Amino acid sequence: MGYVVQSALQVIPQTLDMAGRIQDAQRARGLETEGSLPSRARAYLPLMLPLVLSSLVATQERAMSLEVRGFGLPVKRVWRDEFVDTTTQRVVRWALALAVPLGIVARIAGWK
Amino acid sequence: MRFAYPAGAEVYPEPGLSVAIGDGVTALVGENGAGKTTLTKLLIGLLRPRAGNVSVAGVDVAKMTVAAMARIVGYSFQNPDDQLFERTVKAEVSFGPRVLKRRLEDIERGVAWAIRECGLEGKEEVHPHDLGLSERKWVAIASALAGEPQVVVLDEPTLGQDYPARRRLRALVEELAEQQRTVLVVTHDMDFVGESCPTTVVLSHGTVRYAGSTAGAFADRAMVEEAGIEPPHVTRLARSLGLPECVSEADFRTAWKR
Amino acid sequence: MSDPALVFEGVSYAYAEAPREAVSDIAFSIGEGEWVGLTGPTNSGKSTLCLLAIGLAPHFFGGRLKGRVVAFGRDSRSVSVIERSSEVGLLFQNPFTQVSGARERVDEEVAFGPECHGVQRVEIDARVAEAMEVVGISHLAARHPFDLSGGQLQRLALAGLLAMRPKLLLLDEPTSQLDPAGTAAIFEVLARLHTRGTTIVMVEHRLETLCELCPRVIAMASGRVIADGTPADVFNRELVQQRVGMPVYTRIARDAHVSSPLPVTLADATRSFGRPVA
Repeated sequence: MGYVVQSALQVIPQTLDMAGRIQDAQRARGLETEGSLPSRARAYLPLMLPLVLSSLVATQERAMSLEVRGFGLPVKRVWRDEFVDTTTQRVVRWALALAVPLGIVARIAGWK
Repeated sequence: MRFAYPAGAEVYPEPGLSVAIGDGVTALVGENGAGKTTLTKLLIGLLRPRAGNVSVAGVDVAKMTVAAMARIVGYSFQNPDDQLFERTVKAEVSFGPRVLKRRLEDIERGVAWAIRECGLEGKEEVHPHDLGLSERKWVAIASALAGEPQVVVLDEPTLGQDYPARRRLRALVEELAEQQRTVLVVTHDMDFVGESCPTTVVLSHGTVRYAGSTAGAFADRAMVEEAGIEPPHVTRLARSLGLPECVSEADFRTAWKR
Repeated sequence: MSDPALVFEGVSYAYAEAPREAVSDIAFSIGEGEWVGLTGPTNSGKSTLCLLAIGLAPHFFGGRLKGRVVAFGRDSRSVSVIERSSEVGLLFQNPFTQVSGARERVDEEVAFGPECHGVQRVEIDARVAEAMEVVGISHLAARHPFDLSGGQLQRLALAGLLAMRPKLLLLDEPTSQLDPAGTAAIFEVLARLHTRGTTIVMVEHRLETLCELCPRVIAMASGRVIADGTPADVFNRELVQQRVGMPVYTRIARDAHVSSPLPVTLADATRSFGRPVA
């Protein structure tokens, strides 16, 4: 779990950057992101979906990159936390890694 | 340094930084970090200046919300994945005009035109994420055009595009200029600048180093080098042959015929 | 006589649930130490070719593979990507998704790959220092990866691959998200690697750059190889000119009715137009 938390925490600044860019892009198209509850509700999908979709694509790219670097070899490695891995575990871990930053971003974005 | 052009957008982000961008196609160039994106964000109110004022098509940006500026400026961001969220290309492209509550027939017309200009005909019902990055960029550009805005800002439209796509982009900006719209293209592609942007603004370290004709920009070799930009390939060839300065292939043809 | 770096024999491939093949009947052989430029319009199969070369297709993506992809004598079907990763590296377009996210220092990030391979600590340190030097980021060793610019991140990703001492380096549009300074830095590194004997296959849209750097070009369109040879050979072919395009110099020369073969680089063009200036 150490790896999950570690990489999830480090991905947060990137996710916040992305959330900011998405908000800029949608506002520039005319979307109101502040104000009444109905207008904030209308803004939910245009603000959340690009983040989720981009994160999914990024997850796949990251997984490919990790594999290309040899992540997952059943070899004893010197890590902060030592453990052996499988592809399923890796994918689940990345999905978990995303849940944390997405949750935080959603909260920051005001959908309490 | 200030140049005045008829109509168009005038930008004064700071005391000492002022530039006027006129009708037709203008390229905004400079190294990363020079302030290009800052300038474009000031144009639509995503950033507000500490001093000075910004006006676009005669409108004082300080008095407008970003959403209101969207009626005047169509802005296409560099990374299409920062905005794509609808299930079909058509829904995505029509998102802006729908949000701005334009009339149905205006929406239909604008969307059809944007889709055609961006080479997306036949792909209206495709899910944008089923398209490659290059085509997703075109969806983002079409989304910026669908509202038929007076001013169009394209942020790095040529990145990662193949030759046919770059050619379509040239045709697009020419058409926009013919329609009397103001087009601002932020780009690193100097061949594109030489071919399609008669005017160029060069930014370096947050200041305007040059604003005027593109030919004039590249003729100032010291400024070009200091701003960290490179001349078009055509220009390099003309110089190595001792020909008069060229920035486009048409220039070269003329120069070569002597 | 050692094995060629990369051989494709009668290769066709379709992604899972895709109605059409992404690439068809691909055949070529790349020798060790070659620097090959791969180009073609969008969706011509260039990225798929890279994924096939390293084995992500079919191992990561599934799909249907016909024919053989052989790197350094080993068929991709019988070698996993992870096993392959000590010989073949692949650099993707996006600098931001190639960071492991598990390391807080640049030098530790570069060490990630060798650590996964169980390389000895002393050896890792040596490789990390060397890789950072080759790409020019030694001065960034203590920085946090997320503090780096896109161009710096791409060099970091490249260092991460080089730390595994790959004999074959595949690069899929490595500079398309970078500014000119970042781009130049990457190409400088590749030139250095080329002189040291690394085999390089690079996907690139900017044809002037391609012709300047790569002694050999493979052009693709609609999933097939349509030309394979020197840049001058490839871009003098009408089919390539129509389907892929050509460098600015070539087009200018063609329009000026310069006699063939048309030039593909600045130096060639200067000679063809016949009036060099000192």
